[in-house]
Amino acid sequence: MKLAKIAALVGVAVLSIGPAAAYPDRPVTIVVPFPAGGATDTTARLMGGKMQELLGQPVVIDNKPGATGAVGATGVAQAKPDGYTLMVASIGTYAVNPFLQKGLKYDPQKDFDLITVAVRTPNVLVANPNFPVNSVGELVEYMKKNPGKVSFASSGSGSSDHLTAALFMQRTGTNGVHIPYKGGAPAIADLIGGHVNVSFQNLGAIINHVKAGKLKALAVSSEARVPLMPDLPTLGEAGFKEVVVYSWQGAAAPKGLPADVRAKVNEAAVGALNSPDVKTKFNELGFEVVANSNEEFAKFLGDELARWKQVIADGNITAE
Amino acid sequence: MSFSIRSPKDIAVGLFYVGLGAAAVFIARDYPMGTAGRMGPGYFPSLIGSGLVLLGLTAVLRSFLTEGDPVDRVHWRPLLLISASIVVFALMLSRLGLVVDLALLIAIAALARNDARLSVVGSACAAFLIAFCAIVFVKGLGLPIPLFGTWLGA
Amino acid sequence: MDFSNVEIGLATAFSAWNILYCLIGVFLGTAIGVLPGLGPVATISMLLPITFGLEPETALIMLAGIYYGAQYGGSTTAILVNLPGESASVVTAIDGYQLARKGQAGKALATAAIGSFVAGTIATLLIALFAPPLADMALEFGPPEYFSLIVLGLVASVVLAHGSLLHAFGMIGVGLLLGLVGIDVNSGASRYTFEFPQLTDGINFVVVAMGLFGIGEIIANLDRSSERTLLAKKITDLMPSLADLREMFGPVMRGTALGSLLGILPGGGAMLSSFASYALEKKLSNRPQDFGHGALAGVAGPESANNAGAQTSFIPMLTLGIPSNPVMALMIGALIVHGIQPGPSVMNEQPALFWGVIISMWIGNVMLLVLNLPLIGLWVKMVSLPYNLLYPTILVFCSIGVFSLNNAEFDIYLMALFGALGYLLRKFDCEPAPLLLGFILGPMMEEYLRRTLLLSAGDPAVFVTRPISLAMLVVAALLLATVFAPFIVKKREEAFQE
Repeated sequence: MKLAKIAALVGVAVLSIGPAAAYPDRPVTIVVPFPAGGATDTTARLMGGKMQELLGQPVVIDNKPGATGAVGATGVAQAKPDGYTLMVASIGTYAVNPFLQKGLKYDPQKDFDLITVAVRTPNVLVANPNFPVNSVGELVEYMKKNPGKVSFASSGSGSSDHLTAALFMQRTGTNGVHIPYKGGAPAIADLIGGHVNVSFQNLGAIINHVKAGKLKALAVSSEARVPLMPDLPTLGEAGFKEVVVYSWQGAAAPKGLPADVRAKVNEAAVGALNSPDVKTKFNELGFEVVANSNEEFAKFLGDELARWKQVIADGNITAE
Repeated sequence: MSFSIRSPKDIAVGLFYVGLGAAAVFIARDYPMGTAGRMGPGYFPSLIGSGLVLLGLTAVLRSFLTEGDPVDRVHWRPLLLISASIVVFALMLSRLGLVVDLALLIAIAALARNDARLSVVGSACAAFLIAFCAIVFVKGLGLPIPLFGTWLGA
Repeated sequence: MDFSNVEIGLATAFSAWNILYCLIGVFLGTAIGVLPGLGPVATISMLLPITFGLEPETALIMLAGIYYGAQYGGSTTAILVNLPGESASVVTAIDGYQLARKGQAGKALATAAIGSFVAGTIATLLIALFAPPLADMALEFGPPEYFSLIVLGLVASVVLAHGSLLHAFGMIGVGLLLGLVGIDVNSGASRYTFEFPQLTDGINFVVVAMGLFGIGEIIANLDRSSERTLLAKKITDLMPSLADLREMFGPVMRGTALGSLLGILPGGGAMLSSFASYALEKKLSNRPQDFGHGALAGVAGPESANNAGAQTSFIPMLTLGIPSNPVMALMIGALIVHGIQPGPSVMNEQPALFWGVIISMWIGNVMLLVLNLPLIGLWVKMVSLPYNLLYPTILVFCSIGVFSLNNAEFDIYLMALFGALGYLLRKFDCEPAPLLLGFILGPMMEEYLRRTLLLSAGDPAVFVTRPISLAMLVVAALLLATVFAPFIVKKREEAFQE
């Protein structure tokens, strides 16, 4: 299988040596401003692997972690816009950092040529099985009776699940204690151990714990029910239509790509995301492939920035 | 008992503690303190910083009371040259690329010895080491470092 | 225990293909562990894409091999050149390096290898027998328990120091402050970052360790006589004697027990176990004054604890899908790419993966022993090379290794800074080990303290009303009392004499 793959690659490489040195004629680097092994890294690797076949050039993943992606994104914003440096980053890098990080050295709307939203995944409201609520309605009621008593674990200040929790409390008029952790894993561990009560966590991260009965799921933050957990109601069904939240990953390049290169990059990225094997793999992991156009990404980013700016201001969430 | 510094080492280290602790507390003024029950980001650093200041003062006090060693001579040549070799390596990594930059690192580091001289064995070992790093780290593990950097036409 | 699943695991682990990958893993792991600066996190993240083409169990067997192989190799460098590449080998470096300087590097290395093997075997057995209940037990550990455990660890790190008590506390304080650099987990505020985005996630442990120990040691060595090689004395005893083995038995067993227990805690337990073991051996020893000057028990105990902890830290990952350290997080990433979401169901649904990996860990430990014992002679020869060839090599590996952490030049600059600091601290008789432990434990201590108080609405009573937490605080207080008692008694005697 491996040999076949190499043969195919060599084949494509040979074919692509044409007369004009059209883009791409050397390896393309995708900067992932997060450590290897996380959700953003996985997205980039699955997508990049397929783009390699479509572009006929090696696609190299370069992890440059730091400051919720700010370190890597700053580097990409300043890189040459030639299509050989791309980036796959998360909602935090694009839509949250501008409001939480003082002295951020990039502007997500001005410094990048947005390519496509790659994938998205909803957050699931989960509780410790011994916590005495079994639905969103019961949780809201419980929180109203015990203001400031219910603990919400999050994977960090300003993370997508923290903001979802903030939005949830703002829309339901409730108030709980935010307990931030260093990433999702320790938050889930304390949730299973019963040291905290509830949390919004990415679908993929909790599905097995829910199936094994270690956590109970109350609702999902997607527009419609998710195929992996068809019995789980959405927050909209529970009466909170405004709380539709996805955690997402998107691809971008430094501002000023030549039009033909930009078209080619978008074609390869969308093509890779829509290829059946990549799509199946994303779905198994709880991700939904989005794969849209430059313009759709730009409009979506504008909406997301406006929404989180409001939530952060209303919730008084600051980097203090 | 005469009032003189009996332990120069203690007083130097003590002043280092006081300086670092005070700086930590000073900078932490910008961070909200919160309360003991609900600590803000400034609480813990101020606590540790103040503790360090107290420790430093104790060391300073002790340097007048108990006998101690004199301060060893600081040898500037190895300190500056070894530090410089590392800094230059980082500075030139993308410009020169791994091969030339490593040679530079080794050359500057070699100067740190008082009896530094160019030897055949040393140069051969350096060449072997550079080849080893290029093969293992760049080719084998795929570290994103160019073998030859932007200044050398890559 | 379902034996048909164990059989599947045996068949998986003993398939020629998987044995080959296990060998590749432990070999690579040993190699990168020995190279200073290059740790398992960087290596595994670079090799991750290669494993995508393998079967998931084969991938995990190889990655696990890299992980525990690197632990093994890391102690080699810690002993030979005083370079701890892993937080756990900081402790090994203290007495191991002193033994090496006395010409007993071979004995120290063999002790580490044998201790690690025994510990690895026992810990693997524990995982096979008790993984699920142990994982549930680990979850009982909440924020207050972690806080008390860290307090205990900090007190133990005072015991680590063999010089002035005042400076031991001072160095811990400096380490605590350095550990605070970066984003505060609880509030999201950046502290002491001086507008450097590279500092927002804090300073990497490897940068500090390579600087203080590696670079600082090089500068210090160069300012002494220009003639010396690293190992001043003639090399004696390549292998431990029977008497040495008998002396090792207790420390190895106690270290294994400590490591196996603390290793299952996802919040840095494995690392705490190595110095808990050191402190314990120093307290139990009838020659505590030898510690810090080349005590064999100071290598045997922590090394066993370290390796046992490295094995049992797989428990939360394999049974719950919770990573106990960055390496485990990477392995979970690898499984996710294979479409396996690690969690409680893995044990029953993927017996080949679960049992295959566990059994392969024991095979890997055998391989490490067979691989490493004959290599000891070679290692010892390598460090008896003239120092003018050795130190540029260490410098080169440290610089490249530190770069590989984040692919950032910034970390190399920081390492140079810590190198200079390490040299100056040596000039003032301040030991770097307590600084490093303060650096590791400081941020965790603050995180758990503040989380506990958030959850208890500001009431500190939880620390003493929860039994496990109370027990650890009592032990910490007793340990502190034994540290201070001789000091106070001595002061009194001095006062009476005047």
